[in-house]
Amino acid sequence: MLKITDLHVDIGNLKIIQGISMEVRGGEMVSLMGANGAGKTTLMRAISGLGHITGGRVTFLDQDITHATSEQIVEAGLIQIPEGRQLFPLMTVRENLEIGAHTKRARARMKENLDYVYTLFPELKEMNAQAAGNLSGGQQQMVAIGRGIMADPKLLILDEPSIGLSPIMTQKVLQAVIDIHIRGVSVLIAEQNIRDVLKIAHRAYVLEQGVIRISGSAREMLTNSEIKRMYLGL
Amino acid sequence: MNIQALQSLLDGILMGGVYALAALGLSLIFGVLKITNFAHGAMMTVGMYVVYALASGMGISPYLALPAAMVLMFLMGFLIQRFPIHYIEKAPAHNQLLLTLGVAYILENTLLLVFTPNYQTLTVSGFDKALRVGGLTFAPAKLIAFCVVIVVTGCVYFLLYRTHTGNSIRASAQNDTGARLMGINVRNIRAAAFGIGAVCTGIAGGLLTPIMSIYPTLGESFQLKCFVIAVLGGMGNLWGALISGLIIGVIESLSGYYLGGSWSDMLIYGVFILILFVRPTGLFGKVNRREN
Repeated sequence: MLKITDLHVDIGNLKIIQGISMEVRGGEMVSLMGANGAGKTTLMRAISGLGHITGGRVTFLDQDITHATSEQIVEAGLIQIPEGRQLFPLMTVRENLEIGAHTKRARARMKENLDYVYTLFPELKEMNAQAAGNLSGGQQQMVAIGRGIMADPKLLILDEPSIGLSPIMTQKVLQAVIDIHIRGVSVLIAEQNIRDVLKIAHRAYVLEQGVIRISGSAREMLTNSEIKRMYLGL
Repeated sequence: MNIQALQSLLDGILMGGVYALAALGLSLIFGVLKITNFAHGAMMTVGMYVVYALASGMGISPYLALPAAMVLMFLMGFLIQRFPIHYIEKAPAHNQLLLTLGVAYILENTLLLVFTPNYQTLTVSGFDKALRVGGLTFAPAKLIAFCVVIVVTGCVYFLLYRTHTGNSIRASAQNDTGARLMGINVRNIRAAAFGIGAVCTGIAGGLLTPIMSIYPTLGESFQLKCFVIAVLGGMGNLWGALISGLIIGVIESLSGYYLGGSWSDMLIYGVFILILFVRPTGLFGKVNRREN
């Protein structure tokens, strides 16, 4: 579904991503792991058309999107829920959700997707008229996920969706990700709760200083001694 | 308050409405692009001349020329943003100032070339008779201008707050990354916002054409006035711009009545500086508004 070949991404003069190859197959949930500064966010932004790609290739559904604009990428069905949520703080929850359905494709399925968002997070319905900027972190994350659903994803990229959230809220967010995945959306997720995410993902990649250090099935990762030592604290 | 003072107050409100519309455009452009448009006054003059040329050239009422002027102003604004301004969006503020100021000079000098520096006056038949209610007189041109301002402002609000395009404009202003990741073509949205800003100022200009004699550099005085109003209202705050426009219009007119015309500018800037001392973000600007 998503195939990345020898990708290089720069930020300014810094070579952040230095030759990454990875893929997400249809129906898969793939975890992207790595310490802070390993390049996860840079990689994800580049996939969504917000990075300076200096080499390599990204294809999505057999379509070359290496140098596509973010609009084209969203229209194709590759949606990202970015780090830090990036909501529209002065707009209401409802407006934030509606903006999610910006593309023609998403607008056609707006009602259906809105219903799904409200089933997933019934509390959002009561917050409809509130400004998104006034919500708590957990509530904002629900809006961000809801907005992503409204964009009608085929592949959903989530960058640290549980950062700064309470353990209860984190579980709720991960549960929502599972639910979205079960509905047939492929998922690429960077998540700091490694143990939790490895239990639900099919495969995982470990990013270190701009290259893939380790890759394999999620089950292997849970028993990999290096992963255990470095990320699971065992 | 005697009848003349009341008359001044009324005139101030009517003119303030026109200022408010122009300043609304400036504030909108700032809100979306984070750029202070120093070509705003010149764009206003373009609006004046477009209405003048259409009305005197084709012999139609200047108010019938407004829709055509709106389309032209939108296109002009869209193109000015899309080509020169787009490339300096991330440049330091002084470069943005220089570029928009450069655009202003290009516009002004084009007007000079085409229309000569002479004063032009548009006479509208029937406008020599003023409406009288009690002891008050209403100049028809000012009255119509105020009504048009209300309608256009209403349309701008409807566009910004009730349509998908408007939501996209506000979303792009509040979070660029978020907007891009939802598939919004932020580049075109910014250009559209600039176009709408140009329409606001162009219409304000066009409404002034039947009220005053026009010349190519007339916009310069309005540039500063718009800037004062927009800052007073809190840059990017549209309601603030409207209310501040009325306030400035009233201050201008009342100070002209009580102290004489030469005092009005001094008073406007005096009040402006005083308010900024007390509220550096303007009357209606939120303190330290962060959009992240």
